[in-house]
Amino acid sequence: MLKFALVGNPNSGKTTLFNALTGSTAHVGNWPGVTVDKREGTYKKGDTPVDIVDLPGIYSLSPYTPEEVVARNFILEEHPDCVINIVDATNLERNLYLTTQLMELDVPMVVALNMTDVLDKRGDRIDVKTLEKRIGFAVVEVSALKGDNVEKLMDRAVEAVKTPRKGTSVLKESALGSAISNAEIALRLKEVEAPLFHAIKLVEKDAIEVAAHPAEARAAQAFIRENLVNDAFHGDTEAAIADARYKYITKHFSSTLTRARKLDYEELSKSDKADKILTHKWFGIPIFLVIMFAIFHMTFSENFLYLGLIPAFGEWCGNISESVVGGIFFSKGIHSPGIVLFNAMELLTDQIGEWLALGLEGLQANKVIVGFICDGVWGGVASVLSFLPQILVLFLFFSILEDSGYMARVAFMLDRIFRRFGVSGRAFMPMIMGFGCSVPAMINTRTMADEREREATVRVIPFFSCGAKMPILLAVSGAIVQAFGVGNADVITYSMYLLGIVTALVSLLVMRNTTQRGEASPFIMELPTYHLPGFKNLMLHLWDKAKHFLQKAFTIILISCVVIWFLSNFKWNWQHVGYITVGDEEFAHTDLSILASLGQFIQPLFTPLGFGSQLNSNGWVFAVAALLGLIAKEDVIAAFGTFAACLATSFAGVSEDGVSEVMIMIQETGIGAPALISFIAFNMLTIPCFAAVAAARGEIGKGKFKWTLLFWVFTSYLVSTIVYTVGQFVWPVAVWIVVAALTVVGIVLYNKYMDKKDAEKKRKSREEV
Amino acid sequence: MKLLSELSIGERGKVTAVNGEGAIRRRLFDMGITPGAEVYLRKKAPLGDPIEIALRGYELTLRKAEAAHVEIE
Amino acid sequence: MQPIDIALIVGSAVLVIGIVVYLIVQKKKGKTGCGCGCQGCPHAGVCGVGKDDKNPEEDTHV
Repeated sequence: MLKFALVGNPNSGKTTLFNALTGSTAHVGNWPGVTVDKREGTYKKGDTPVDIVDLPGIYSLSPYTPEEVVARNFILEEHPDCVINIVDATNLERNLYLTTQLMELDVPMVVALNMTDVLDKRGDRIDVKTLEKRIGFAVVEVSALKGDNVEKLMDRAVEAVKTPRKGTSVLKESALGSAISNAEIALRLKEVEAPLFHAIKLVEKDAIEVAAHPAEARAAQAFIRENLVNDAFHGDTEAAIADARYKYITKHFSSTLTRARKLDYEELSKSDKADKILTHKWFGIPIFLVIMFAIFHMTFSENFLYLGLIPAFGEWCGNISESVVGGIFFSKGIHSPGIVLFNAMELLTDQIGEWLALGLEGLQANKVIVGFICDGVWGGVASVLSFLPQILVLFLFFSILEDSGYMARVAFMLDRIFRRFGVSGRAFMPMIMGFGCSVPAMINTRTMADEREREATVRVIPFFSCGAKMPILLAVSGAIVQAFGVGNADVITYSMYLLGIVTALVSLLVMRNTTQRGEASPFIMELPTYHLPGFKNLMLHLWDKAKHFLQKAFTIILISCVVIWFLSNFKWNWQHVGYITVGDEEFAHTDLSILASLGQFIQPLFTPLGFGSQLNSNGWVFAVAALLGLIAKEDVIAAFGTFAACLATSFAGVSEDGVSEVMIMIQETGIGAPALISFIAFNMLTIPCFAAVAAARGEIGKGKFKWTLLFWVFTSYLVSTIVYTVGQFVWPVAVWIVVAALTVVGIVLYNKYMDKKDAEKKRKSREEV
Repeated sequence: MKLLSELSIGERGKVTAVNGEGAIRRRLFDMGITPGAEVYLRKKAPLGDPIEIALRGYELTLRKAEAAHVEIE
Repeated sequence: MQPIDIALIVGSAVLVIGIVVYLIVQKKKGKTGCGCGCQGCPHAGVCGVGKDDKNPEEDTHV
């Protein structure tokens, strides 16, 4: 089957075209580096099916970041039958720069000229026929977004495959033309594939080429030195070639573009006007902070518009809160959309739980089996389900931010600040993605050039608490407020998110000054035009996320609950633990179970964190729950859900929501508020779920990975201990401050020492050259 | 002769030379900053760094340190 | 044990085994068990998590 590669600049519409061709729904974002690995699909609408590969967006074939290497290597090594070069018509010159490099390969090519409809709106026009003639292969106007001419494009591409194509270059008549020809001949003698392409890269002093063909490289440079009269670039072939390419493009290619009005940068496009405010010198960052706050507020806040402060309104709300729409109102005002949906979901899961219990008891099923179904399975899964709405709301807001192109602006504004922590503004994108799920966030770091900076970023991504950790946050903070009457659930939630961010920044600072030293990667980035995310697209994403969450809940989490239930309801001799009666309720005697004994075994490990030996004999639930988080972070609350029914000795009518279940844990173990907060902190910062661990391992490399695991364990343990000891006893603050001071001094000294060593190394290598 | 990093907001110029080494220089070329290119300084970030320039019909941001490699007239 | 109990036990066993099989099949197809999936992943849309596509140009460091 034929195999075509889609190549083009980031944001040129490549992935949109891929979706149109293959019918997939691969994500299209509006910041550089959305596609960081290749995607494959099949085009089935033509006569012959064709394999389509969507490569990461690249600006040139001399790779600068890991993602660009993927694209280059694919074209050079996998020999696609045709390369479809997608060119953004609204950004012609820069897009064609890549085209001039692609054409140097021995592969059939077709240019897909995208977004000509946007050009038309401005009144600009490209003379496609002339462009086609000058380029030397087919140029097809398409609209990837609307799907216009996509079939025509594929037809021309299939046509092109029939005639094998030899590379051509716009540099043949430039000053370096003869040097290139010589190199080409030399490489052809060496039987190198695509000799023209490699010859030009050689003359350009591309590192990979020079390493592969050192003799030819030297010969080329010697030739240039002797024969080039009037060399304005003084032997700097790299600059000469880049210059020659653009000069050719301007003269022969972009001259086919006629603008309705002369290009005037002072004229602000809509996008530029938006930027005037959003990236304003003084207001830019505050606006960003407000937007962040608004997003979290709409997801988590119970007191939404603070309308309750108006007494009359507050009273009215209080009255209604008793009624059916009690989910929306409460005694002091209105709930935020996130909370409203949460309450609705809770009602639903509670109801189902009740029906299940009643139904099964009505059928007179065995007590143990009823326990298994109602408490073990449904109890666990339901406690997680009720958090789905809030996860979706947060996800929706972040998707809008990402798709609109705003994220690139924020990276731009924050770069200077980020650099103080040793990372470039680029790291901002993966971090924000981490709030959704760590896995794609870690993969997205591939756009960062400096390997050590990238590793450091990958390590701290789990600290940006992903959606799966939200149930832990919400359930425990809600329970703290209810059980101890302290504080405000949303304040605790925000502080925990903040704690994650602060820990990440401090970790970055430490790492970049100790084990991951290096320069922050360069920050040369395109700012794509803003565009409103399509409603349909957004809904598709949301649905996708919801689907995956439900899938996860009813598979992994469900199985985990089954296992947990068995382990907590059976003794080592495979007998059921039996029941104890308290009042007129019967509860499983979990103390005797397998899980309890295992739990009690590891319980002491968590003593410095507040949920270890200082708790009573039921205290093992926290240790076990935290451990279960390795499977999936939602399992922590799901575990509580399963335990709750077994442990509750005085809580009548267990409701299937995370908060009440944590309340039961509190009651039955005697845990206090500081330890609970420490518990949240531990789960936020410790080793993430297996999937994230696998992703991190893939990005960091198997050999070095153990340090990352160690880092996670150490950091979570340390921070949680600090939180607990300071929260519970206050005086340890002094101790920690001393420890921190000593560490800072140690790091500064280490840094000075390493700086000296680095300077010496540099001097030595310069002497060698 | 000025450096790109020294332009004020609203100023334009023509690139005369691109210095620097290795990957950064390469990247500057790839993005269209070549001798003869016309650039326009659109804005600076809230802390003065990075800067945003308009060239060849699109918007690019880069740090002052990177822009300092570019000579403008 | 009542017949209803047997029915429930069998039903649950079937369900659980079914889910486990489903998960194993998913693993074989290379999809992660995360809240993300493969192509359905709302962000990078990357399949094959854990690929070692290392950049040959990268300097090897300690």
